Amino acid sequence: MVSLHSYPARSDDLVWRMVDGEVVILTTDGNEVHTLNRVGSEIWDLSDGTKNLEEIASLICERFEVSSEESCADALEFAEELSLKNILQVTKGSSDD
Amino acid sequence: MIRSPPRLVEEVVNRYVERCIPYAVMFELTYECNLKCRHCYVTGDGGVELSSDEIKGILDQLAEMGAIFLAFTGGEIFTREDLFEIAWYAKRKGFLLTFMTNGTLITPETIREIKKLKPVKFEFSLYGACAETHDYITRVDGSFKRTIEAIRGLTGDGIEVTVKTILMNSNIRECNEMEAFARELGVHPRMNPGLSPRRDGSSEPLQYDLSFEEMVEYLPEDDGDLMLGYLSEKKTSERFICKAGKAGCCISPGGIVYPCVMMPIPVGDLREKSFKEIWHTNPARELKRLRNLRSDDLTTCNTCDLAPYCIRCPGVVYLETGDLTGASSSACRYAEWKRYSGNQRDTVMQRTGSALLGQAVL
Repeated sequence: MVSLHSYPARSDDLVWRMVDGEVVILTTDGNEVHTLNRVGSEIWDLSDGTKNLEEIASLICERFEVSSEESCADALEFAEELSLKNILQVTKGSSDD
Repeated sequence: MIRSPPRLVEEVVNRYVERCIPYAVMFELTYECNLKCRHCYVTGDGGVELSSDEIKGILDQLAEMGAIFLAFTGGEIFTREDLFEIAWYAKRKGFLLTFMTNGTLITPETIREIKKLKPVKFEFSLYGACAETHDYITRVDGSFKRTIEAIRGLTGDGIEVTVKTILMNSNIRECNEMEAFARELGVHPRMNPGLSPRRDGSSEPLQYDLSFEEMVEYLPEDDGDLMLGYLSEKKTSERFICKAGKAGCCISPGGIVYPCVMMPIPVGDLREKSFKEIWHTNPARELKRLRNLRSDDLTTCNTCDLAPYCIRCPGVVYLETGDLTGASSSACRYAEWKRYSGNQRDTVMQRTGSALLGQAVL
């Protein structure tokens, strides 16, 4: 279960490149490709395993001038979708226990 | 926020092409080779080989630019003692690696290291179904045996192994045996009749090129995916203009950037300028010209009756004629055969169809 206290981290089993501000992700066999839009790319860049989704949402809020509710919803949706595809590893935060 | 539709790969590649971002890079790590293949197109450009650190610096730049696919080629890449140091660095930088090799210098220790590294693809050159033919072409006795040992050592561990064969007059008689042999080895066979002049302009390799008569006699009528079966998948105009100089490039052992391994048109020296400067900020006139080349500029090929059958490669055209817009005699010959074999097949099918119809009526 992903919550705002979860810590997202990019999976090691893929390669990615930032192309003109947008992230392109490939599986290591090169057969599957995903692209992220600018907000998704920013969340991706911040998903280094050291910040939880609440902190990431707060940074997104500042960078894209969106409301706190919107950025939290975006961050949660992003983490849920990408963790289902095994692109993102999400670990529970202490408040989730 | 995330998009993953099935045609996204094509869309992403197109984006790289439009923005001239190097998607796939061929890195020639060395011109040294332990074989002396009769048909080899490689000739050195005189530069001193890049050191491991210089190569790592270039890989940093390529990753920064967005490059994803990286193929190590040569010469023979296993003549470089620092190959794995470079390859591990590239792997950590997030490149999807391909190794292109003759396989003869691969040892059991090397195989263990390769399996740890797990490059995405491993491509071997094989020129015959038996030692006599292969070693005649490589001019090194025992090369067939060593290549086969390396192929056997690498299959079945999640690494995609391909065996590449250039079909020429000295091995065409073994075309079917080579395909069967590759399948027996558990690898992908990829054969093509694509000989080209050497990069210094010498036409010596062309003495091994297939004649039209040899194609008729030996090439399978329906080459499927074995030999350039993609002909029908793309429009002629798309096939005749390639990604070289836009989303693809080649870097020589001495750090010279070329649009493609088959296009000896130097567009910059990485010892003097950054890749970004060569590729984006201040591209050479020749690079700009290549990028501006449109299908309409190929007046001879565009109006040719053989165009639907043609596998025109701009690099081979350049090597054969010194011009990017002309026609390639080898591609013309192959297209003639392709049209001929298609007509033959249609005729046989019509005859067979009539016979069956006759039986049914009776």
